[in-house]
Amino acid sequence: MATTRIKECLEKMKGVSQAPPRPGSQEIILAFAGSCLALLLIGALHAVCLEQAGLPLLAAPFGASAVLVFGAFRSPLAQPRNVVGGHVLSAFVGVTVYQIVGDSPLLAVSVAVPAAIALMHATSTLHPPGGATAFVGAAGGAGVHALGYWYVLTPCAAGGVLMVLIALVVNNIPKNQRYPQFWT
Amino acid sequence: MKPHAANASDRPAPISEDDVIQGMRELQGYFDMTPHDFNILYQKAYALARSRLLRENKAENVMKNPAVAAKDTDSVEALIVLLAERGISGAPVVDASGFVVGVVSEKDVLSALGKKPEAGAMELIRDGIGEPFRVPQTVLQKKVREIMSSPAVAVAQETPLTALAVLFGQKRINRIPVTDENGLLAGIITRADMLDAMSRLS
Repeated sequence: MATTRIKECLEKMKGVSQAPPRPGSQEIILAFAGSCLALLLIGALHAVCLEQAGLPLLAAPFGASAVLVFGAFRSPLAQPRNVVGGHVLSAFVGVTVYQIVGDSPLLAVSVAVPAAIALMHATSTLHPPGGATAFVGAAGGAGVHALGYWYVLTPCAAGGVLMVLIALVVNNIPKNQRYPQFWT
Repeated sequence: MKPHAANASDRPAPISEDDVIQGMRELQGYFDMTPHDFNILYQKAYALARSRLLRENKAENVMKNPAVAAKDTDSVEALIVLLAERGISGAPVVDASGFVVGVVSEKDVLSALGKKPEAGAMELIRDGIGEPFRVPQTVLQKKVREIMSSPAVAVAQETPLTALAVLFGQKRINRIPVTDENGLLAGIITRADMLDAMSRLS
């Protein structure tokens, strides 16, 4: 009966669990320090690269990646394969969708982000900031569109790799932390 | 008795969400997973592990070896003495070459004495209240092969516990001889041995 299905759905919405415990202060401070360091370094390189070659290294999606890579480094979504793979694939999708339906940014974004999700899932590279990367690739601004497929390499691939490299050092400093959980 | 798969998975592991939360707290580090999800995954993995252990454990891991055996040509008197001295209620029966040809137990002896197979030792002891109890010579002189259950329900050494559990349940027997690749007696598994093995695996 349709009403029982509706009732079942509503029941499910009540939720069935609770949040995992919040991390301790030490971990929070380290997350702050790690992500701060990472974004400063990448930002510095970004300034150099922009001056020299007009190639950006930093973009908004990397703020999102920093949350995962330094705030939830145990998560399967924060692993190197996901950071780099997720950004690269999503950037590719974003630029491609722009090429096809770029006249309407709304449409482009509504297609690019879901496509990025599907592709990341299918390749085991799910990385939430990838959605942002695809969004930016599809919607632009003009600077992003001007890069064309270079967008995939810089800032997306390069930024992802840099963030992972910094995390490999910073996240492994405390004794009871390890990063990554896996490479493949 | 339910098939092993149902048994293995219908007993949940004794772990609560509070256990999980406490564990997460003590391990430190932000766990990107809800306690509920962890618990259902844990229950599933636990059930799979139990099934696997039941499958992987074989008759040879559980059996008693060497097994006390009676010869098919032994007299019932010799059998009675054997069972009494070893403190066992039954034994596999082997022929001259060592092949398992049957199983003999108290029930078979009670049967030979004219009692119903379901009769217990008490019936016999009751016979001795106020009356001298003697075992008739006719019974003592019989051969084991005349009173044993044959053919024997026996298993190979590699038989998994899951199959043994089914046999004990379906055949309502109390002991199963284990044979090697040549059909010779390798060991014995009693109902009690099975219980011990099952409880060890839980």
